[in-house]
Amino acid sequence: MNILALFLVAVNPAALAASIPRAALSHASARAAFVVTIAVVAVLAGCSEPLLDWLDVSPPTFQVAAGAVLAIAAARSVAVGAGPLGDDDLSILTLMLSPQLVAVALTAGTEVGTAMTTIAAVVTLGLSGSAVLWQTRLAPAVWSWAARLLGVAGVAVALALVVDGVKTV
Amino acid sequence: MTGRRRVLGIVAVWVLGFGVLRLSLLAPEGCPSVPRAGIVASATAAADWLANGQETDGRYLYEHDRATGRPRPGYNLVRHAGVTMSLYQLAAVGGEGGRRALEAADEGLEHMLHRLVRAGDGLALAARGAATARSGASALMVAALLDRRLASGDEQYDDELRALGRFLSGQVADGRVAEELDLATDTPTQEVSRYATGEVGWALARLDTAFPSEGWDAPAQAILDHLATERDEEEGLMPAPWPDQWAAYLLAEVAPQGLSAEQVAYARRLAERFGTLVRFESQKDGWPPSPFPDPRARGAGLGVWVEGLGSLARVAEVDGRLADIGAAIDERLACGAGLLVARQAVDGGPEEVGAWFREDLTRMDDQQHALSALLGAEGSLERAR
Repeated sequence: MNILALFLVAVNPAALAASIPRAALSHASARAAFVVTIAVVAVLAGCSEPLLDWLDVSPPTFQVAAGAVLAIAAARSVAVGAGPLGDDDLSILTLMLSPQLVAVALTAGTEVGTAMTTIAAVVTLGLSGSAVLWQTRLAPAVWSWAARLLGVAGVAVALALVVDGVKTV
Repeated sequence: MTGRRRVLGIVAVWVLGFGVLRLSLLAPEGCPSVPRAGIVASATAAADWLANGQETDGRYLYEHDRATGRPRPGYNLVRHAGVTMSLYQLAAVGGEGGRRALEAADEGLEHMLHRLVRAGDGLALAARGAATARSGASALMVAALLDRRLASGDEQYDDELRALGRFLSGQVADGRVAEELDLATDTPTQEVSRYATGEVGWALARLDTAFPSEGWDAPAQAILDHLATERDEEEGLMPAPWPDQWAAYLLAEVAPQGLSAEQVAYARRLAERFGTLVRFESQKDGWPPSPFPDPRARGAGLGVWVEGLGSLARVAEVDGRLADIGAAIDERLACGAGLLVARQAVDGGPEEVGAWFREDLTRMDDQQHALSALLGAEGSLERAR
């Protein structure tokens, strides 16, 4: 499983570009939301193995559950697209630090380790920040449809994640 | 919406979502840890259940209903042969439990020896008055006789072994195994069986181990190739691979002589299948109570998966191409063995203690497969330690 593709569909930069107002990036707290999200991903990846031990589940079992969470989130993106949020820092944080990102961070942590997982999070969240900065270059409807397309890819990646989990001893 | 209510809403979604997952896909994998002595004791209790229920003609108690306290009607000669085989496997371990198992197995063997009939240029095991002889029954009788040979060192039934082997070889064509032989015409029937193919392949491979250079290896290899490359698709067994523990036994028997790339790939797919089944089974105790039938596998079902993993652990030990999954197989094997021990009945009368019940029913093959599985797991885990 390509870890970058996994994070790309979990974060869905097009959905973030359609949702987060460009003006919000001028708030320190909104910028902090990006940093907090990356930090949480790094911590989750670092703690993934003890956390799964504590939950009494093996990595492939968690991978199946993560695939299911990602599939639901991706299917929602396909169904409803993405629309603008209020200029609200809490919404930005909850949008970025989504259940599917948490699930993907944990499963990637057990697969490729903390460093690779954190790099993937930095790249995709950086890409998302750039997309928000450039959001006025494209019509909102274009971003929304791009979010749907990434949602379709997300469903496919989620299914691959489930199948991979099911096929692991 | 106020900020406070929004925060509460978000927290509620996270808690609810996690709760739903925790009661389903993310339920804890309950894998009881059982020491070696516990595994052997559990296998011995299963053998005692089989021995206690044995009748004077060598037949075992077939099925028991705990709710009514009465046996249920029916009998199956293939399962009789399988039960006898599992008892001889315990006999090979030795001890007082092994001695009791040997006595019961010898009575079960007598029952089979009286039901051998001429078939082709050999002998087949067939129920009295039956129009056909099932390949699986003879294959498991071969396995039972070979386990008896291992347990006792007694070679008095070697002629019967070879005669059964000749019958089984005649049932094989291009790796496909005819499920039955028509005794009136002395010709194999057209039907195949998802069980008999692996059973016959394993029996022939074991004959080759016991009697090398007599030509038993060629049909065994043909069957293994068929299982590894064609069988699931031809017979429409989906999702592939069908979790065939007899095929896993066959792989373990052949592995020391070397496996082809296709056979190794098949072993890997089987390990993935058995591993997933055991993992999923281990989560079921964490599911919420349900008004529907007990979702947990019966003893035979779980036993079959653990038998498969035990055999594949042996394959991974001798074939470096499976070294990457060896530790995972051992982990699932230990988990499956722990589940079997934890789910065995320890209270009640002789029709209950040592058995595996589901929906208050137990059948003799529940004990057979669990017994073989526990002994296979004990051997593999001991080697891994």
